[in-house]
Amino acid sequence: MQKEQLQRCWAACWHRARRPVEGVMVSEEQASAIADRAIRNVSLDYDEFPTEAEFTARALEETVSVTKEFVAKERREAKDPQRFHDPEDRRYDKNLDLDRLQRRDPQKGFFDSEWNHLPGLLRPLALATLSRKGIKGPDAEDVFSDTLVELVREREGSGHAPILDPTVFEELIPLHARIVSFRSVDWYRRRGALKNQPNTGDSLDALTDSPDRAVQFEDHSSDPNTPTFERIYKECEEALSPMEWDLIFKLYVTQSATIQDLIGDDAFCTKLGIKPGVSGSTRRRVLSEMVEQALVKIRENLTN
Amino acid sequence: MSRNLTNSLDSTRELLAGSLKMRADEKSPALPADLLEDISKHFAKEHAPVSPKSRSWFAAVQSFIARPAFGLGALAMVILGLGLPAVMGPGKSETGFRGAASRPTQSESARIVLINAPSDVAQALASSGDFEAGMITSGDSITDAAPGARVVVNFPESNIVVFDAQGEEIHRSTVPKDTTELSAAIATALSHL
Repeated sequence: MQKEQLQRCWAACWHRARRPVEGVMVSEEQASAIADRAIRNVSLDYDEFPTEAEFTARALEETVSVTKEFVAKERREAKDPQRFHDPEDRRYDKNLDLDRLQRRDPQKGFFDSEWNHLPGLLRPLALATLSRKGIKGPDAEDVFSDTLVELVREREGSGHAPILDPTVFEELIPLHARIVSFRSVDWYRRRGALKNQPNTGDSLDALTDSPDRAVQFEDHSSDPNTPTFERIYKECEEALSPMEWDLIFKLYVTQSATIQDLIGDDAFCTKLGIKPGVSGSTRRRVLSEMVEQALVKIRENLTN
Repeated sequence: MSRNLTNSLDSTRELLAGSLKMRADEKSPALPADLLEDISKHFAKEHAPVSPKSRSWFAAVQSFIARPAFGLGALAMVILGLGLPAVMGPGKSETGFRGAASRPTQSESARIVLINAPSDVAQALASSGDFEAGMITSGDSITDAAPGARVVVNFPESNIVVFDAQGEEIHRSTVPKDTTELSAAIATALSHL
């Protein structure tokens, strides 16, 4: 393990501890303490340093988990659902009490009066999303009602309702956004079936995330719906070899090296199986092919 | 490099580039020195070159037995040993599982037969804990002794005779006069089997 690798991992974990979920923010000191603990914990699982990609993915996963648990515990003890809420987050007025929302009675179900406040909080966000997808007025209201039912509907198999998934309230927002997206697709399918014609034209376009259309978050990298590195790694871990992960991690994730740097790095090229003495153009071609293959694998695994 | 890669992968590259979710307007503090030191030590320790040492044969056997493969192999042997004969059944093989010549069923444990033993002696032997209670039987004559490996303690004739599984006498000794030494004498006789 090199110092630079740990530095990069530390920075990534610190940023993630500071904002584990869109809308949650802990103090810089707490972020440092959590990142420190997460990295130490993960290192104990390894006898030898794995690839930087694997170590960072595991450390990030640990960081997010520990931070969310920490925030939930603090809120519970302080009886303050707004504690550690990012003041810059203006998507809605204030957090609701997640513990109360998740309280379930065997007979009455999710009965807590906190649920009375949830539709008012989620409605503007959901209607805005549905409007962008071309669903408006009473149709949008219908879809929104369906999404609320979906939150408490127990999944087949696990018998676990989606409302029980979040550890902190802020996680409910992207969870509901995903449900809204799925329900909007269902709405278009139902409408297409009623008209006895396939979904074509505007309705189909409305379902795609075309860059020409309005997007919920202007800064693409801060969009909570884009996958985090740990999720990408988890979903594609088996598809890529350790060397491919190394390559992708350096070039794109941490951007700690350019393709030109790698072409000039004899040790790295040898590790990739490129024989010493081959020309720069050959090295470039081999590296580019490897990178392209790895990217294709990631794209395919994330799409599936 | 972008020129060399197909444009269709741009979105995947963008996805990876933003996947660490680090904010440009915020800077993380420096890596704590103690964390760097501890983590470096942890991984350096594992990478430290190991000086070649000759292991004792005992350590080698211990290491071999400790391997998961050994456990699996042993498990497989037990399953084969117990399961296969049961599956094959006696009708499928005249010879039995472990060899061509089948042998009559014999009790593996030797028996201790007490001929005309004083009742207190038989009880004392059974309760001494030196022998399993099931090993000890009593009788009135030598013909009461069942076939198989056995130690016959003949009190009227004052001798201890050891017979092997085939019924042949292989050892003979006298019954000690002191009954407290009887256990030791029988144990010695058993050791000849």
